[in-house]
Amino acid sequence: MKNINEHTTSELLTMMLDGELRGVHEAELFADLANSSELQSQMEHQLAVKEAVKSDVEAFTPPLEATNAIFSQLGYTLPPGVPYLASVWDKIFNRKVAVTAVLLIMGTFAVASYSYFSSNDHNDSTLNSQKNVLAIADESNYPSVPTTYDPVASNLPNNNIKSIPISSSRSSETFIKENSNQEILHQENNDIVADLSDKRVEKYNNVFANSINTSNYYSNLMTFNQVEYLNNSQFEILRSRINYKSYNGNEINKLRFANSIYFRGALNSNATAFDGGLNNIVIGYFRNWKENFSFGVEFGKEEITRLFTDDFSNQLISADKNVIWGAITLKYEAKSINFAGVSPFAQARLGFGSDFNLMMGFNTGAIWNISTLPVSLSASYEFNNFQYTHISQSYNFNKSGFNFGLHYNF
Amino acid sequence: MKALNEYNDKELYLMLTEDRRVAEKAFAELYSRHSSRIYAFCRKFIGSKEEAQDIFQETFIRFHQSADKKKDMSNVPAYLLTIARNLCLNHARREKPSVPFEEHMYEDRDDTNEKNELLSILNTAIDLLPEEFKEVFILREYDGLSYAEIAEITGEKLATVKIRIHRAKQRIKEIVSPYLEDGTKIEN
Repeated sequence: MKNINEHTTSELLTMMLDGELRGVHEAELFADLANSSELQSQMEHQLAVKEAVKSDVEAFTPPLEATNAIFSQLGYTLPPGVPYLASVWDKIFNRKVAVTAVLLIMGTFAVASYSYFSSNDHNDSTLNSQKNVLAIADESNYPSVPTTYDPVASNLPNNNIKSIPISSSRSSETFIKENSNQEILHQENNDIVADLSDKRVEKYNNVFANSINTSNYYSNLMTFNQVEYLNNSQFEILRSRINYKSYNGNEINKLRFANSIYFRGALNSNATAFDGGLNNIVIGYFRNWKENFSFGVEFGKEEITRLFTDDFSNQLISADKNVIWGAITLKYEAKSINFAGVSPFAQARLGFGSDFNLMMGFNTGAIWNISTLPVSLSASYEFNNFQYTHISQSYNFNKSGFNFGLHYNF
Repeated sequence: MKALNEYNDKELYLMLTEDRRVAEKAFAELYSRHSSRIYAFCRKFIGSKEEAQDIFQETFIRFHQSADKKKDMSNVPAYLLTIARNLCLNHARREKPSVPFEEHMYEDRDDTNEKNELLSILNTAIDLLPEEFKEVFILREYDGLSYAEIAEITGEKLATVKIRIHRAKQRIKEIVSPYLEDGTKIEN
């Protein structure tokens, strides 16, 4: 190849592709390029190598362990928006495992819900539906119930005297046990269920308090079930509508509800700022389950920082992205711990959404149940982990911060 | 007050000498700006992921420790690359034996991310380059530095840098060409 000053055309080509060639050399190189297949081939090779370098994502991505090690050695917290490779745990918790976990959780929810709503009462309800369930029986047909036990007056052989089971059904047992210690201050409305429940407590106490032999017990139980019947679901609703002053000896002084819709948000910063703000808005629905647990769904919108390939430069870049997600969630509220209506709670979620594969997160904080209103206010620390893939590589992004919620209970 | 991303590298470097809260934010910003290219240099120069990771960590720790208000820090990435380069060269001189090409192809390269066969061959070719060619190639192709910046970091003359980059690319071409020309896939 000919020389142009001190450089060969091959060297000039390298310089041209590196953006280091200027002026007259460029024009002469182009002229040679047009006529030399060897130079053209060399250019193609060099361009192919440059493309391969651009696709070398792993080389440009410091591993999570290295980033963590640097910041921890310096005593600094890991900032949001720093790109890193997924950890070993993330690799183990790959997409298949995540899908399996979701299915297991959903299955658990389904089984738990089925078993809960399919308890004895529910089955009895079906039977009792043929007996005018929720209708009050004619009290004149009830057997007389002694107010005190007198083995002699009962005229029964002693070996027939048995201890009284509280009830034949689990929810009746629960209901009576709990309500026997409760002072009902207020009933929210004249709902027939609530009304009947009150009668039920009274009737139960009358019928069973001193029934100590099995024959009386079962006949009275039958009568009792004819008076009115509430299945588990109805019990929950009923219990939610009663304002208790005390609950198993603990002062709670608040309304208990079966359902709750809420709005939660933290709008104080963007994802790349260093103050840990979440910059998210979330709406959700909770259904009370058991005493302290609630399960539900929630939907949120927030900003995450993730890696993209820039369309223009074809370089890997880190950029903020608004994502929308939906999640199933489980909340535990320690209702027995109560200070002026404020109780601690913890909430976990598992979600999916746009621009990421999986989200896992939790909240922990306190909720103030306002005693005179069906409204609660919450404040909590929130942590969310978003996992995503880009060019077959797994990454994750963590967000944490404080947010505030408004809950309407019904 | 300006947002962190509005400060230039020099201002952020000076902030490293201020109180802890400011220094932490400044360091995080500098890290997010330059960690990719520094890691790329270490990763490509050393080859082994674990060893590259150690040198990468050490580079940023030393960089942070070097913070000094009196220092005229005109080019932070060049300074970081200089630290990384010195650490890499020291490491290579201590540890690395030369490996023939045929053996190299069968080494466990710890490149779990490599889906691209050309990239795999390119990595092998880079590993086989002599140090003086390897460093200029990585600084040019992976770190995007100009010839003049490479000359500053390596302490070589500009003309030497030009020649080394060209020769590095010629050697890489010799290894990559068979794959590119006939499309034959080299079996790993």
